[in-house]
Amino acid sequence: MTAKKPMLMMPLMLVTATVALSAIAAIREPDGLFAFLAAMILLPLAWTVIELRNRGRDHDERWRDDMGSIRWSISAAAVMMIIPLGMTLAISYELTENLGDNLEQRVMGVIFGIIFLFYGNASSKRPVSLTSTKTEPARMQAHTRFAGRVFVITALAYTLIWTFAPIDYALPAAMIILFSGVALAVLNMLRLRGK
Amino acid sequence: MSQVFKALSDPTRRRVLELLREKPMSAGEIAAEFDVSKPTMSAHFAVLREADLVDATKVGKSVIYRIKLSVLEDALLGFAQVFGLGQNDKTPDQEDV
Repeated sequence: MTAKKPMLMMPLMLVTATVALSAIAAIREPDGLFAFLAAMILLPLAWTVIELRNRGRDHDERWRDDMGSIRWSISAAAVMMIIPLGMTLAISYELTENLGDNLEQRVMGVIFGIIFLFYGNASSKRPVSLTSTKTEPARMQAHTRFAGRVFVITALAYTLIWTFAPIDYALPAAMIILFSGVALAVLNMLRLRGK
Repeated sequence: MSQVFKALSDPTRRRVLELLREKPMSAGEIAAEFDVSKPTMSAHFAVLREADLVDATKVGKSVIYRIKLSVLEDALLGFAQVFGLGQNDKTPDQEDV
């Protein structure tokens, strides 16, 4: 009957992978040393600070909701860092030499689209908080469902653009679609809060 | 995924999910919407929990149910409603819960 414990292993593995890839990239590409060091430190630091701030709290329903949400976000952020780091290393090790012009760019776009698709699909899966004081659960739930659907449609369009659109138009078109989707979700949230 | 299809194949469970799509509800509030026995309703809740489509949290003396549908599961629920899947399904106590 009680809610599941917030996941720990998955964010831990993903953050470890981010640190490892950043470290390798820093060694392989000394020109970008500071950027890779920042990538290496950012997530572990942010996660540690958040965990320490929440250490004294009771492990109640609200804590489980909050920590589940935070760790899920940490995992998503780690995946978003692992992909460009992985691509950087693939280029650095000359694994992408045989790919055609702009293919790296398209592959990155499609991968981001697919991640966004998974995120959008799963975003409405999280149950709304019963203890939130800002928005009543019914409104929050309506917003979460709407945002999930908008994100899935946006992600599908984003992926299709990066797959089929001429490369010169792909980036601006994908950005317009992405920002429109996010803006729509934000506007809907503001509309529901204002009611 | 088969648990999701099983959960969505029953009209009563789909109606429960439809109610929960509007807002989180207590077990009593949901049960009041149906003309079925308490054990049957409990069995329906168990199938939905097993499929990870709802979350049950004890708040005080009542159990509050919250929906947990991904966009894909939400779409599947819509399809199941439109095409009226499992209209003549067994009651949950007859199923392999």
